[in-house]
Amino acid sequence: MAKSLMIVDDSATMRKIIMRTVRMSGLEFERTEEAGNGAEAIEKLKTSPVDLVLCDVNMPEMGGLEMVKKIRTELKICEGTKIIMVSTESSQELIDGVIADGANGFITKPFTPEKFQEKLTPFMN
Amino acid sequence: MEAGHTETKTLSLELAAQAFEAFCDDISGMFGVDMKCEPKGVSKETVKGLSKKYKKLAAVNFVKSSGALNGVFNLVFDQGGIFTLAGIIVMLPKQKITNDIKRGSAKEAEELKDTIKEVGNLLVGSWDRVFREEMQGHGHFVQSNTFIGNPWEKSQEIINICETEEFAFAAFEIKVDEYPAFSCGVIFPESVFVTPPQPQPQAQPQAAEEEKKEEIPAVEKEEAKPSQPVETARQEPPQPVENKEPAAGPVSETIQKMVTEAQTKEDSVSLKASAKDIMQTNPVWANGDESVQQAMQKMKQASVSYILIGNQQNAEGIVSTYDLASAVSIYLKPAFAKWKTPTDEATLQIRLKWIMTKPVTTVTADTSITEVMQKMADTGLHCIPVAENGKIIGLITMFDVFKAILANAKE
Repeated sequence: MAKSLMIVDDSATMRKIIMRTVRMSGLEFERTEEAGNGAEAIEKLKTSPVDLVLCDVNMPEMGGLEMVKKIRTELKICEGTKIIMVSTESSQELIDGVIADGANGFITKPFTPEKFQEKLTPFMN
Repeated sequence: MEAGHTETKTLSLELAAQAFEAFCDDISGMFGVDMKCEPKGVSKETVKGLSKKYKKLAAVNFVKSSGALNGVFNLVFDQGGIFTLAGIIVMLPKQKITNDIKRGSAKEAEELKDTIKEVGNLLVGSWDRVFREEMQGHGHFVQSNTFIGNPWEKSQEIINICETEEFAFAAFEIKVDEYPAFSCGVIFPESVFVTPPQPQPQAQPQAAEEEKKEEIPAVEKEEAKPSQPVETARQEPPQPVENKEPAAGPVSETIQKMVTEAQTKEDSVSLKASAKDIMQTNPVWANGDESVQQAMQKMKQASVSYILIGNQQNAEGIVSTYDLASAVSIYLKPAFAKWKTPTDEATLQIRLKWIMTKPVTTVTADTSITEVMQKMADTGLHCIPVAENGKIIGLITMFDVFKAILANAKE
């Protein structure tokens, strides 16, 4: 079971919405973390890795795409961590690009508890 | 008004209804509410007219569009919309939401700003999805800002629309659960329906180009009219980057006059020179994944107004200071700094590949200056890279052309 989750989004409101939707989906985590941008997420992951990261694409300082690239190709940390992008932007070009860079999935906004359950369950075991 | 302009406008107004409906479905699905939308008609409006309809607080979301729609348009919610939607999203008690709808102050709305921005973000997402599916040539919509307060008093400063400017306004009424219905709508300035100058396909190799020219009778060539410059789409006011310049407009007309004059002057010396004689040989390059902020720094350091996107020789796109200025938030300007939020800062991180002009129109090293000017006048481009065997070897800006003309005048 995935036991820890990190939500990365520059909007505190959106982090709460995601957290609430995750809970409504019935998925349970022993530990949850939050970060306001990619750089902050990386710093936290270095000391305290998580099983699953839900990450926004557009954020100040370091966006989600740059964060994925950095984690997967530059720092090569958290190899077991699954990174799922969450964004209102849903062009195929963006999705293909971020998956190619090392993300494990993409959830488009608006999301529902059902969508979270469908997309995250494969990574829970 | 062009036929394409009218069609785009009609379709946009139709899709506005679908987009608001999609937004209602999205919010209903995400937050477990029953949200319904009803169109209330399309009208020609002015700021004064809207100020009567949206008397108290209003939330204005700025949507930066590219593609079939080009420029910035606005999505507006009244006080009821602000407090109903924000309240639902942060799960405020029903009584609190109802009170705020009636009596909520600007200060209380300000406290919900982060949430209201998220509402705008979700709204723009719904709009983007509908337009992507239904409108050919749609690029993308991005929420660039959110304003909460009275946008009508200083409308020119706040929403970049002057008091007398007429625009299309599509009004809607939304009802969520048992809360009172609220008003919302979309402001479409005429300028967003104007098609921007289209980038031309890659220049043909010189030989092929000459071959093509031979097929055109000389008389016809002389009489061929350049494409008319189009009105520049409304963009956000200039940002930290200076040297803003519209993509086309009166300057292109000036260039066209100069081209005509140059073609009739047999003694024109400098204008018989070719692209290689006036081009800048060390253009500045950036990777498409680099940010607007990084490009600004590079361009400032090199004192240039254009940056090529690609890998030093193969240009995938080109970005001007004007593109950068249009991409970043107005609230990064010192005058608006007190309203600046992290979302505004985030616009500095927009990737160059998302705003670059592509494909890149090029000329060859032997293209005459007159032909370069003709190309600028036809396309509205103010900078054209010079390519040889598919590799970029330099670039020519409008100012390089002016310098050549000045040199000619001095001779």
